[in-house]
Formats: sequence, C-alpha cells, structure tokens
Amino acid sequence: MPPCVITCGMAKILSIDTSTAACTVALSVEDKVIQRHKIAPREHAQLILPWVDSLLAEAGITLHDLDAIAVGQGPGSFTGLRIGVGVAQGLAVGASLPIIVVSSLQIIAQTAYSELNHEKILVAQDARMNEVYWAAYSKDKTGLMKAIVEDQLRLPSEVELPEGDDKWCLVGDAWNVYSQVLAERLQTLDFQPAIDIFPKAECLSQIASQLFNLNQIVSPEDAMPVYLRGKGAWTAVSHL
Amino acid sequence: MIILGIETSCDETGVALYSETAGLMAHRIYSQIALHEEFGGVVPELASRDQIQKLLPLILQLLTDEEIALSDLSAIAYTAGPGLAGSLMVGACVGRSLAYALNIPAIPVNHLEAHLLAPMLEENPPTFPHLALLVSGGHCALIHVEKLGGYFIIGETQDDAVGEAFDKTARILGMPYPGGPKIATLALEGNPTRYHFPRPMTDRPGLDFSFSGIKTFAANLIHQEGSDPSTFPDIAASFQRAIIDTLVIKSRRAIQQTGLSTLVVSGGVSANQLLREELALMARDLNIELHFPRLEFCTDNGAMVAYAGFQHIKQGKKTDLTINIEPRWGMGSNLRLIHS
Repeated sequence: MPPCVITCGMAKILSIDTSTAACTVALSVEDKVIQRHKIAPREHAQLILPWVDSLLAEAGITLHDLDAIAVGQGPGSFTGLRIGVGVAQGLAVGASLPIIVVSSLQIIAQTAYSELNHEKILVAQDARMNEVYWAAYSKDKTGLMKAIVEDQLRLPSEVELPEGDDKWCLVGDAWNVYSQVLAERLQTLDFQPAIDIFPKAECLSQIASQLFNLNQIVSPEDAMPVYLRGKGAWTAVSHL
Repeated sequence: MIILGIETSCDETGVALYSETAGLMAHRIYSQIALHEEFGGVVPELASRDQIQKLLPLILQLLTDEEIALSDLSAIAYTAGPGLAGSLMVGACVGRSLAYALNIPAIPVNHLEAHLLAPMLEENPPTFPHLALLVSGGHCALIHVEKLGGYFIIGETQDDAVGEAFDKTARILGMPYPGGPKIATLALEGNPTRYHFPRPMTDRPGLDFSFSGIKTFAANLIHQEGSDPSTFPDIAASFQRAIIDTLVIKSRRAIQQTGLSTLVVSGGVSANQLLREELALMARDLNIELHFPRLEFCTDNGAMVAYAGFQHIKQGKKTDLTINIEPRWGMGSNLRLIHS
C-alpha cells in the first residue's frame, strides 16, 4: 500500500472535509502530515475546532503560520459542507489566509487509491432522493486522482462506465442503497465495490499541496459549497 | 471593546458592531424574502444556502465601511438558537472559527433574549424590572423581565405564534409570503367592525394566548363570503383588530397582575402600527412607560445579538471550542435560559 502523501512541497496547509459521516482534519507541515479522523455523524461541529487547535499545538505552530486552508467543497451532506466551508472561511479570514477548494469526491478517490492501491476509481455516493453523486477518477503521473468523468448528480439507473477498457473499482456508500441497479449498469466491474471508503484529510492535503503550488487558491468569501442539487428540488411550502 | 454580532437564525442575515463606549456603531441586514416568495414560505435548506453565501461578504463590508479592522474586535456574538438548524449552523461556524483565529471570545446568544433586549439599543432604554411582550413569527409571550438574564414567562401562546397567524391568514387571502405586513396595509382600507372575530382566551383569567382559532375563523369566513376579493379589506381589518385587541387585553391584565410600570414590546409584530397605537393608549390609561425597538430592530437583526453578547461578555461568560447550536433553545419560567 503506497503512503497517501507522496510529497507535500513546503506549504503549510490545514485540510478539512466534513462532507460525509467522517470528520477529518489534517495539518501538513514541511514533509509531515498529521491527522485527526473519526466516523462521527452529527458531531463534526463539536470536533473540528478542538482538533484544529490540537494539531497546531502538536506541530508547534499557530494558525497564522499557515499558507492556506483546504476544504472539501462537496458534493455531500449539505449541512456538513456548510460546516466545513463555514469553519474554513472563519479561520481563513481571521488569519489572512487563502482557501483551496477541492471536490469531496476527488478526496474520496484519492483516499481509495491510497487504501486500495487502485488507480481507476468510480465514486458513487448516496445523494438521497433516489439519486447518486457520481464521478470517475484516474491517477495521473504526479500520483493525484484526476476527474475522467466530472462530479455529477445522476439517477443510479443512468450511470455508466467511462469509455475504454480500463478496469474500474467502485467506491462509496451508494452501493448500500442501489447495489442491484448499480450492478446492472456496471456489469463489467472487475473489483468488489468498496463501500466504506471515507474521505481522509491527509489525502486532501496531498491534492491541496499541488493546487497551492499552481496558485489555485480563492479568497475566503469565494469558497462555497458545491451541492450539485439545485433549488428546483424544492417545491412550494404547505402552510396550513 | 467592540463586539461583532451575527444573526442567522432564519431567513435574514444580520451583522452589527457594538462598542462599549460608543454603543451601536453600525449594522447590516440582508433579507431573503425574494428567495422564499416563490415557495410561499421559508425553505430551510435554501435559507441555509443563502446564509453561507451572504454572511462573510456582509461582515467584511461592514468592517470596511466602518473602517474597523478584524484586530479591533474584542469578541464575536452569534445567535445559537432557537431557529432553523442549518441557518444557525452557518453563523455559529463562521463566528466561532473567526473568533478562534482572532484569539477572542465567542458568545452564543439566545435569539429570544436578543429580541427582548433590542429596545435597550434606543435612547432612554427601559429599566429593570419590566414586562415584555414578545410578538413574532415564532413566538407570542408575556415575560416578567426581572433583570438581565432573569426572565419569567407568565403567559404564552398555546398554538400559533401571532406572526404565524398573520402570515397564514394572508396566505388564505392570496397574498405572497410574508403576508403579515400586507394584511396590515390592506386593513387600512377595511372596516374593522364588519366581522366579529373571536378574542380567544380573553373571557377567562390567565395570560396565555391562542391564535389558531382566529386563523380558522378567517378561513371559514373567506369561504363563506365566496372568496370575494371585495370583502378582503374588511376581513383583514376585522382580523387584525381581533388580534391586536387580544394582545392589548392580555398586556393590560399582565401589568395589573404584576404591578410593573414599564411595558417593553419586541419581535417582528411590534412593527404593527395598530398595535403601537393601541398599546400607547393603554399605557396612557395605566400611566406606565412603553418602549419599542425602532422598526428595523423589530425583525431579526445583528444589532440585538451584538448587544446581548456584550452583556454576557461583561458578566464574564466564556465558552470552549466546540461549535454548538440549540435550534429549540427555549426560555423557561425560571431565572435561566434553558437548553432543550
């Protein structure tokens, strides 16, 4: 199994993802990455700042010593995305730092690569309302997972394998709910689906490092969740 | 000492700066009314999305306009409840994290307490103890305010909040959300004595309210009159008159029972002109003092949150690094704010 972090350059980055049941925070300093990670549904808001504080203390630095804050911007749990982005915004503004936004599906793909050592990853996360968040990621020559099929909201009955004869591994919790229809759609899958891959912040920090070096940063007020589900999904409120 | 106040409990984004020496320095409000109009009410998820889009730009704009640096802030107060969980979470996350980054205290504020204290932002603020009438889209209560933090609920609604009754009746009359203020406008053209609405729970002792009956009465009446728009102004006027009469009867009763000599009115419905006029008559009659917030502080705003936060800071309130919201945070009939 390859280490998740191959190189993080010299940037000091705090990485946060709260798009799933996993609350995950990592701090990369020089060539080291330290992480706090827990499957903790509905506890993210309680865990996150104490973890940030303890990671900084462990590294012996302050927030103001950082170069950037990275956050998983979704898609995922709507409230979770706002917790991650809201915290990232508050920290970044207060410490005059830029933000690096990364797809939460890309973080899942990067984590899957790290844990399964598989270079072609299909991500299918349960999006509720009979839909899935869907994307395909493939390892590039720098060791990062890059989107072959961009993140999208799909009916499980409409997903399909990317073109070509690559061998894909399916990850994500959509399999828990839609295994039958997904199995039908993706008959040529070569690997047993891995349903329990949660995004890890240390893998986010690996992606964020590269983006930071490419100067792909945004100002805090421009860091926004990506929900993929628009307001057309809501209908008029019944009031009586 | 300068406090940044953040209000995101529902569909308004409010921010304000309160200074220990200069008082309220400035405030900004962004209202989502247009967003929710097409849905006929607040859609919680969409409200939360708008909160996170608007909050940080609003804070930064306020600071820029007032030439206040982040490093000038002494504390950040944010509404922690009651309210919509998703909306509250935005203010709590941004507020708590910003305070952490600036190494200053963060103060979770009770939204109801903030409303109760809103009249303190005016010149000649009310003194303690006093009677508070809290009338909004989510609440209707008479509260004996003994001192800061000492709140006894002595009467409250058994069903709908008073603003809710306004909004629901407006909806039956075909008015877009939020219809409460539009009822008041339509009532100006109507005859308030044409229809006799009930004055619920006024014919027996006690200080509690009930407004669902008035709303149902309105629905039946509109049906009876064949949904004829020419009757709407009279229905609106008669409906409003019944609500205001009920509030005045109960307020008068509460003043007489408690012997308090000051009445403080707050919450969105305290902007209602007829309520203001009728309570002024009552206050003159009973020879008591009457206080309202200015109109813009009747509805949700950051100024009242900054002020409430300032009062808690003065009392040395401290919090840890966990971000906690209390969507159902109530105010109990004892001396403390109750966490549900």
